[in-house]
Amino acid sequence: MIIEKKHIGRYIPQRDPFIMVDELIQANDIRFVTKFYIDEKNLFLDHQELREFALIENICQSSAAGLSYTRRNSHKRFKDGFLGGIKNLKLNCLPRMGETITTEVEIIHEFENMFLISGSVYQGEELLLTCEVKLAATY
Amino acid sequence: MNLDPEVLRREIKEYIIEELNLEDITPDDIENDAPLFVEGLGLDSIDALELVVIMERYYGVKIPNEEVGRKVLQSINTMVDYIIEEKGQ
Repeated sequence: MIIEKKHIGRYIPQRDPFIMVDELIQANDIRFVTKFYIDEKNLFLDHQELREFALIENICQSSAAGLSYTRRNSHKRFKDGFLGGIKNLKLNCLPRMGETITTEVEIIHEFENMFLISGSVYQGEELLLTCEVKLAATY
Repeated sequence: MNLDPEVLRREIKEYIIEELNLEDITPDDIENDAPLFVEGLGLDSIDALELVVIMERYYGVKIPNEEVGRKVLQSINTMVDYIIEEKGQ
């Protein structure tokens, strides 16, 4: 593990109860993997299922955590990020309360402070959701 | 790769419409010299990322920084000129 749950707030701008990522478990320059446990207090549960927009938020926060971590020594440190668009979204299944999801994100393209990111959310081996997001970061 | 300007203009317009999901817009609606951002086609700064991706993915042309991006991504014609300039070398 690279970043524990108790330290994740140092790397993403969100604060409870909007934090949708617990741990950063893998990270290189372009690919990050996170985990997130869906507890009973999650704001985005609907009939004990986590709604799809929370999974998209999870992808964005996973990207933010990975980018902040891997570029922590850069002269340009990220401050905030904005979701600029979502493409090619495929939803197979929603995770349920009490489950842990694993999220893999990969930077497809980067231009200045903008990132095109591919994200996939898994529960175990099962692919739940995949999409591309456009993120803009501020420094 | 076909570097005929007319072919490139048509292709780029089709890629822009597809990649940016511009509904109700056809290639004929996009003027070659019209600004792509704000006025004209009305794209925003985050759409610039998609244009950069189009240039690299389909034409193998990199836009190295924001300064070059501002010049190249002004219009369809400036994008075409840059592709021809880069690939013609």
